[in-house]
Amino acid sequence: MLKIRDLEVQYQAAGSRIRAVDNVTLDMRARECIALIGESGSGKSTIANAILRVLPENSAITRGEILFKGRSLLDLTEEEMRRVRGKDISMIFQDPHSFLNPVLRIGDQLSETIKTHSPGLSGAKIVERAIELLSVVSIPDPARILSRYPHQLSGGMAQRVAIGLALSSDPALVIADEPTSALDLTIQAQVLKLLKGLRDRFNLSVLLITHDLSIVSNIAERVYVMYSGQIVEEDRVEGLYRDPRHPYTIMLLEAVKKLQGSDTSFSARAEAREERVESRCKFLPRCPQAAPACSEQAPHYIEFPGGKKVLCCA
Amino acid sequence: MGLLLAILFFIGLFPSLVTKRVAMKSGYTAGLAAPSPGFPLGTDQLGRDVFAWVVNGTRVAFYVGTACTLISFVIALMGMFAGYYGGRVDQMLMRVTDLTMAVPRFVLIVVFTTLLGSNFINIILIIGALSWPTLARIMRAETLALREREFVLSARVVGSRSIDILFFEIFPNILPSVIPSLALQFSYSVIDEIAISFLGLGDPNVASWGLLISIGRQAIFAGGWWVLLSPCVLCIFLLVCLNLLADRLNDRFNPKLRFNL
Repeated sequence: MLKIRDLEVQYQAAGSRIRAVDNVTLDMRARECIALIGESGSGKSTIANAILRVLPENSAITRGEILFKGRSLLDLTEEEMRRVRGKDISMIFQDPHSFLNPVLRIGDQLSETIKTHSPGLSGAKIVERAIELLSVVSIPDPARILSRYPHQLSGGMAQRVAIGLALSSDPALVIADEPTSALDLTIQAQVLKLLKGLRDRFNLSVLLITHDLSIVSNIAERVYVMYSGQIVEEDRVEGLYRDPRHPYTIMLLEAVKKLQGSDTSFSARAEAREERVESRCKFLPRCPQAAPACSEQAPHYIEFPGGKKVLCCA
Repeated sequence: MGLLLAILFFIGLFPSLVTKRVAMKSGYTAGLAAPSPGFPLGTDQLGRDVFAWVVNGTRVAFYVGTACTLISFVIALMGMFAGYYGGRVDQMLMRVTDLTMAVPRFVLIVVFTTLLGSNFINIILIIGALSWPTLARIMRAETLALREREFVLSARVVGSRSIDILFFEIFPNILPSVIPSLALQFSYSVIDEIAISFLGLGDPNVASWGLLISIGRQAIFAGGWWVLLSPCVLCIFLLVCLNLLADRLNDRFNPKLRFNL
C-alpha cells in the first residue's frame, strides 16, 4: 500500500543543511495501522509532510521514493498530487483549533472540502453528506454544529470535526499526526476509540505519529521507533514491548515504567551536540550500552525473527 | 454618527424625495438670493438652487466613493495573489506599488484627468485606478502571514485547489484588516473628486460639491456666504463621519486592539 524507500529530507537552515529524515524505509499494508514514535525533532512529522508533499519551502526531498498503491508520489505533478490529497491520503493534526479556519462555520468548511472532490453535488446533497460525516465521528446533534464556529467547540469536538473533514472523501490512508496530544486524557481515550472504530468501519490504513507510547499499544499493529531522523527499531507491537532491543527503545519503555511507578528520578543523558562523523551511530552520545567499538563503525540493521529490525553496531 | 451617515446616504440615494428642484438649473431667481423659506439655502449668482445642488452633490459623493473604492478593491486583490504565490509576480507588483506611492496621488490624478478628459466616468476610473496600492499592500501582508497558518495546510492536505484556498480560506480572514481601510479609501476618493472639481478639472455637468465650492468662492465677494458654506459644511460632515466610521471599524475588527496586546 505505502512503501517508503531510503527517504531523505533536508532542511536548509541558516546556511547549514540539516538532515531531518535520514534513509527511512517503511512499509505499510492495506488496513494496517502503524505507529511512528520518537521524541520531538526526530523527523516524524517531516515524513508525514513528505508523503503528502506539503513540506515547508526551506526543505526538500533529496533522495528516495514514496510509493502509494504502486504509484510514485514524488513523480506526480502538483495537480495530480492535489487529487491524491484528501481522496487517497488524508491527514489529521495535533491542534484541531488551529487547523480549522477560525472565521468560517463548520458547515461551510465541510461543504467546501466535499465540493472539492465531488464538484457536481447539489447543495442539499452536500449538507446531507456533511451531517453524515459529523454523525460518523459521533457528534451529537450534527445539524446544529454545522452553523457553529470552531471557537465555539471544545477541543474534543473540534478534533472530531477535523477527523470528519479528513474522512470527507473516503481516503484509503489517514496520517494522524499527534492526534491526541492537545487533548485531555479522557478526551484522548474517546478520540482514540473513535479512530479505532472508524478504521474498522471504513477499512482505513492509519499512520499514527506520536510520542505517546500508551496510545501505540492501543491501536497500532507495528511500530517504527525513530531517533534523529533514522528508524532505529521496527517491530510488531507485542515484540517491541516484550523484547525491545535498541537501547533507545529500552530507555523509552523504561521511562514509561518509571513514570507509572511514580519514580521520577529518570534522567536521560543530555543529548551531546558535539561534531559527529556522519556515518556513526547518532544515538551513541546518549547510549547506556555504548561500547568502545561503536565509535569506530557505522550502525546497520540487524534482523530478528518475527520481523524485528534494529539499527545498531552490536 | 451612524445615524447621520445613514441620513446622508438616504439623501444621496433619493435626492428627489428631499427636493423637487433640479440641481444646476439656472434662473430660479434673478441673481444671488439669500436663504428664505422658498430657497432654504439660497441661490447663487445665476439663480441656481443651492439646496438642490447640495442634495444632489451628496449623491455624487456617494457615487464617487463607492465606485472608486470598489475599483481599487478589485485591483488590490492582486496583492492577495502576490502574497500567496510569491516569486516574480510578487516582486513586480510590489515595485509597481512603490512607484505609484512614490508620486503624490493627487498630482497623478490631475495629470490623468487633463490627459484623458474631464468626463465623470473617467474621473472615477482614474481615482479608483490610482488608489489601490495601500490596500494591495495590506492584503499582501495579511496573506503572507495567513498562508503559513495551520488551517491553510489542512486545506491543502484534503486536496483544495490553491484558488479555493485563496478565496475561501484566506480571503475571509483578510477582511477584518481591509474593511477599515475601505472606509478610509472611500473618504479619500470623495476628497479627491471634490478637489478635482474645485480646481475646475471636474465634469462641468455633474453637481459636485467641489464645483459649488468654487462658485461660492466668487459668490462670497458679493456677500453670498451661503453658497460657500453649505457644501463645505456637508463635505466636512461626511468626511468626519467616514473617518469616525473607519476608526470604529478598526476598533471592532483589529484583533490586536481587541485583546489589548
